[in-house]
Amino acid sequence: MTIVKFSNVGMRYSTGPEVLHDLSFELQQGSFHFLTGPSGAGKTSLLKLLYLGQHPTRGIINMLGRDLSAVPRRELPMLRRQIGIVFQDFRLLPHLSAFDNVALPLRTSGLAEKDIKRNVTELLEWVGIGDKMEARPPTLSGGEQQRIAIARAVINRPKLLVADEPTGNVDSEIGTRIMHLFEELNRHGTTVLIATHDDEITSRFKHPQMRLENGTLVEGPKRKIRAA
Amino acid sequence: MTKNKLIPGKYQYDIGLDQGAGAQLVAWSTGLMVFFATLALAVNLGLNAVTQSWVSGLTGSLTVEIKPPVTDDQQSASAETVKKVLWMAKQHPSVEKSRALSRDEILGLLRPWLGDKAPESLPLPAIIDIKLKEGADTASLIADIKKVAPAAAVDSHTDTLDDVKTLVATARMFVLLLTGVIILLTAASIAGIVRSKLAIHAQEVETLHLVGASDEYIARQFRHHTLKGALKGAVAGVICMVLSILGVSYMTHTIDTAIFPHIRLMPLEWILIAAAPVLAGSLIAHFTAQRTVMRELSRLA
Repeated sequence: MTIVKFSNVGMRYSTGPEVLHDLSFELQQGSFHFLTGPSGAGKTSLLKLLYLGQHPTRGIINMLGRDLSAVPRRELPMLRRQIGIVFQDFRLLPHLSAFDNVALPLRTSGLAEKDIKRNVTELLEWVGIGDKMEARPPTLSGGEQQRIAIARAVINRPKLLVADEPTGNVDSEIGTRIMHLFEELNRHGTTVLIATHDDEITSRFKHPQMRLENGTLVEGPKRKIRAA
Repeated sequence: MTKNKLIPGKYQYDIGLDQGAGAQLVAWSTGLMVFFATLALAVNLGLNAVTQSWVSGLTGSLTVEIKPPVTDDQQSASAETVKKVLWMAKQHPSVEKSRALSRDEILGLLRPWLGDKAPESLPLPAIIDIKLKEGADTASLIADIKKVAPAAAVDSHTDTLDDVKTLVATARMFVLLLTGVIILLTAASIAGIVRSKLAIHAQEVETLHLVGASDEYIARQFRHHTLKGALKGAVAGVICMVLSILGVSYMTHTIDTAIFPHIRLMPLEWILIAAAPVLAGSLIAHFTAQRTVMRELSRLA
């Protein structure tokens, strides 16, 4: 089953130059890809399209079986709840505790508080933050914040998980644990796409790569594209 | 938005609406507006009471003025005319009671203009005060007075009453207009505050959207926070205004009440003064916040 399908997708910010050109690829359910490329290649822009943070300026995106151009605004939350996101800058809400940050996707889905408590506590203990559930993000280290961001991204058991440099702020041991968590999720059917600069991670964990250069996909799933 | 685990009855918002400078802006803004709205309402109710007092003082009575005598002959004729008018009034079905004012009472009416030292020789008109019965036929009574005293001036206070009614109607219209302006200002300031809060917390709002929050979920937080602030401000505004009214009333209770009667509000009117601005302020805040947030969010990608 195809989870993501891009057909000739291009994107620009406002009236600026096009940052992504003619992207065409498919991600199948249960696949695991690394998104690589030099800085400024367009990795974060592609992730924004994948987590519905931006609209394409041209082309067609089909996500979780829906043509995004035909999805009304009121139905976007339902679609977003099936996508887990790990932002490069974590995007944790600083006035909320670690627990409440991780609970956000469940609360927006309307889950009962007792179920939220059970699920969040279990996951925070699993990522090693069980003893800091009431701590506010500014009082935690970068690695701890990253683990909270990851817990928030996976708490809803998403069908698609996109992560922007998820191992960028943690030591290699924690980085390895995070990668194992993603692989565990992937084994349960979640499609995973991880943007990374970390060659050690891409060489240790053998998953196919999508390579972006100057906004163009030069290597990707289903077809190999030669750089122009 | 969840209940605070540490403070019962307090809510914790996903967006940091309770944080930083400006968190209490809605309360201050609504408090100020409710203060003025309560003042406008109190003035309106007060005008009602003053009108009733003035109108009840002027309606139901007639004043007959018989020109002052200059010669002795005129003196006796004037006294005779007064007797005739009083006698006719006693028989008339529209008259409750009638009496001629004494010289001292007439001098008392002139005291504001002449002072205490009016000369004894000053010719004074005879004045007859006639109290009318409920539903009195004023026109027929005036005609009957004119029959026995053709030169008498009869004042049924109609012109004064009309002037008073016009003045009060104009004042009430102005107060109503002022209330409308206050309501519009309240809505505009709350919309402005909500918009600026949306701008301040734009990144948190975007994060909430991206983790699956609907516009309604986000709007609910702004709505709840705005309503809470508005309620706090409105209650404070009403308390300040009521205390001000009581203070002004206490300080002015010694003022002569001939022109401005003391205004006594009924318990229901006090309840209205206390409840209506709070209710109106809170509802305006609630709906303005909801509408503003939903409109602003719908503009986002």
